[in-house]
Amino acid sequence: MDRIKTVSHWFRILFQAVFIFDIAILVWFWMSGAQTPTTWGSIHATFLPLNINVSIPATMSPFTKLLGFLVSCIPTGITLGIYYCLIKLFSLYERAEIFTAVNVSYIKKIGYLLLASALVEPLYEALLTFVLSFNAGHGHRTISASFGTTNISDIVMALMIILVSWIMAEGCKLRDEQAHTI
Amino acid sequence: MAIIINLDVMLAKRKMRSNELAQAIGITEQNLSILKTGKAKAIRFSTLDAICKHLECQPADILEFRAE
Repeated sequence: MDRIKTVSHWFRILFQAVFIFDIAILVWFWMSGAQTPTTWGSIHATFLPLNINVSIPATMSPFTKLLGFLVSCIPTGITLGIYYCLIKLFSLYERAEIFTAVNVSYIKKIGYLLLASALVEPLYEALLTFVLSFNAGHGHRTISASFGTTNISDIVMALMIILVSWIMAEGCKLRDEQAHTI
Repeated sequence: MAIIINLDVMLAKRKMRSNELAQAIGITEQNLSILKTGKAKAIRFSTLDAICKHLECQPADILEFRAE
């Protein structure tokens, strides 16, 4: 049990740090005056669709940057929701609450958020391409959306997590009934 | 739940304490408390048999149905 508590403690801190880092990186990306790249080596900014691979120009108007920031808040908000659930989940594990209904509810929420993330991706990709190309000349504005095997595998993974959380919920009910059978 | 447990009444009638009954029938005091407070979801026949034997009563003296 001590090992579970120790590991959970460190993962809780990790996800709290990533939660804050994600917000900071999002704000810095859109609001800094410098030209900001969308990839760093092999790491791609997670709040941008994979097919947007151009640097955000420093000459972009503040209004466009603000719109881009607001649109990027959609996927980031979902990701932060997932991190929040993970922080809460590992806090419960730290308190040795491992097979409880509350835990299962957080796992279910993570599944639904992953599903939302996969389904919402084409929408925010379309919004972002529109915002980024809005000030382009006549005939150069674009809206693009894609839905591929990555989205499908994300949806399948989310559905599996939701299914596992349902099974765990049923297991908790059975265990509760057993515990209250005298 | 509509099933009422009248264990406290029977314990008072027989002048027996909860911990004595728990020890006599082989369950923990916490489990007996779950039963007394109506939080139990099920009771085994073996437990009911042991309670009735030690309190010298019928199941109907302990279990009562009250329509909600």
